[in-house]
Amino acid sequence: MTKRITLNEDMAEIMARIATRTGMTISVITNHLLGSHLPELHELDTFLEVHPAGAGSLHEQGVNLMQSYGPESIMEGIARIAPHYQTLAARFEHEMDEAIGSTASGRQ
Amino acid sequence: MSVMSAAGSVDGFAPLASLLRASAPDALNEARRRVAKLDRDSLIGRFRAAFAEGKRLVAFVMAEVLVERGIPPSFWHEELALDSAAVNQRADLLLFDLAWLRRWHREHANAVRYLRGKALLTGSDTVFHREAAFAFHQGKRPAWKIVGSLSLTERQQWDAAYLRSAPIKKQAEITRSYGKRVRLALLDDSRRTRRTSTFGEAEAQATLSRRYALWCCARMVKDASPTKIAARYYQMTGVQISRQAVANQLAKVRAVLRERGDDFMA
Repeated sequence: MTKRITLNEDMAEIMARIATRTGMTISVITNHLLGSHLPELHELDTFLEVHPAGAGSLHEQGVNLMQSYGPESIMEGIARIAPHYQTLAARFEHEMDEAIGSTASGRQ
Repeated sequence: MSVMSAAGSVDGFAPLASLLRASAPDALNEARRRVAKLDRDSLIGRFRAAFAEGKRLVAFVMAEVLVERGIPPSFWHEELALDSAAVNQRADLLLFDLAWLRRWHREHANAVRYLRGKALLTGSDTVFHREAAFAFHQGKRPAWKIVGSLSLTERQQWDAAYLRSAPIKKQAEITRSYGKRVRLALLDDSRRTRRTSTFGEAEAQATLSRRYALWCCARMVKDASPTKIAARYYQMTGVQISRQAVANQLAKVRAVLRERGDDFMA
């Protein structure tokens, strides 16, 4: 799938240099770099989906995590604005603990 | 393929791939490490619980380990009446069966007529999930049609929990209903066998279980080859048994059944 993106000047310059030095395309480099952010993008997507929009809502605060992205990660941001919300990662960890418990390291 | 949100699982069909995409590789690897420590019985028991409780990712990680250990999906469940399972469960059952085929029957791709089916068995993980989603068709394509399009052999269908054609399902159902009578006959015979210092209650119980399991395995092997039955028995129980022992034990089972005028060996 092709999506056109506009890089800011600094970004474009360093990307072009890395692309030249590595023989990789900017698309490939971008995909590699973004790959490590994929889980948190899905977390944000899910967070926005389960929290309905509205003034002052968690949805709005979630949107703000992306709009003012930078000082904290998405995961940190979600933990700050909704401390009781169970992220997909936390849910998985919880389910693993329930399924295996402490016996995995103890009894085996 | 459209990207579905990982929260889609709450109210409708969501492919497991959407949950996998949303998971950090580190978290999955840590889960695999923990699951790999479980022994066979506790792994199967915990898989059943996770599957029943809708812990899809947990069940998936366990399924990966079960496949890797050579235990086919048909031996993961207590009962295989899985056609009426919820749509997400059926999607996962299909995925597990296909994961088994990819791991142990990759060469079967040569026998598959369709390119998409070949890709399912030999493609990358991404291709695998994409093609599995296509085959599943949001739960609208019945298992037997997928069996047909992949030209699955009888043996492969006996390995599978979900991918079974009507004839195999029927045979499995007959095994299940005859099974109760066979078990009773073996139990009856066991009770009449004299206990000694070396053949106590525990040994009698073990013999009964072994004979019953072998009878079940024999029903899954078309040509009654003791080698193949032994292989099935190993998959089913994790216990090695020799060809000769299979032949001896089944001869005994046959004798017990004949004595009662029944012969459920066919």
